[in-house]
Amino acid sequence: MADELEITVAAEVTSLKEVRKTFAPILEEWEPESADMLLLALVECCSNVVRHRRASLGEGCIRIHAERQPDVLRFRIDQFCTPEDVPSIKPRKFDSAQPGGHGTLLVDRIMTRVIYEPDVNCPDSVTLVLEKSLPDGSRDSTDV
Amino acid sequence: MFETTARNTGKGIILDVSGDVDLEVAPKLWSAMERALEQSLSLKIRLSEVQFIDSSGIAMLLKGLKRAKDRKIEYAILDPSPRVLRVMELADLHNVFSIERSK
Repeated sequence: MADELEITVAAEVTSLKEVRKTFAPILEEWEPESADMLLLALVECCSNVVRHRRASLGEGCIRIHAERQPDVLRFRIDQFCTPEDVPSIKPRKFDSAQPGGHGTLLVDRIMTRVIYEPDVNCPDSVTLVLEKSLPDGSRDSTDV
Repeated sequence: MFETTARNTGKGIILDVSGDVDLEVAPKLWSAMERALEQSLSLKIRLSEVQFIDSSGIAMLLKGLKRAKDRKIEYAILDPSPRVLRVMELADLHNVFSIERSK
């Protein structure tokens, strides 16, 4: 069983189904009970890149890396935004009068941690890291 | 693949939605909902065949709810799939929509 997967897709709305098609089966393999919610969190973040990322970042692509460790499942999206964008990323309830932030709310509720890290490969950009803690010993002993 | 089918039952419109509802197709969902809201005093949106819905899809359902309230149109979500229900619960919206089950 693969423990990590990385894909690069165009930062276009039509790529979202490709993200789902690629990650759905592997998330089912890694964490069948929460695969649908993990996929939702990932797609919400990719949607935010499509909607909001500055044209100067990412060369029109979204690079997504997923890995499963014994105690954590982690997604990384490179060049997610600039450091200046981070303070404006706020979760908002769906009944809020202000637009936006709903996807961020869902991501915050699904994942254990949401981290914005400086992107070591690209100055003035931030990598989004989503982590989901896994129960201890949840890895199947038959896994290779 | 995303698809909508509107059926006039005589008592109102049932809008069947199937496939994945995401940022790409959310405008198409809204177009179908808006047409239905203009044609009837009752709209029920069946989501039993929706396997994925994200915040953009939920936002369209909420937009429809607001439009229906403003125009005094009956509005309900019909037979939401388990995944749709989970997202609604995650978003604290499971008590906001009127949810009905087919007999």
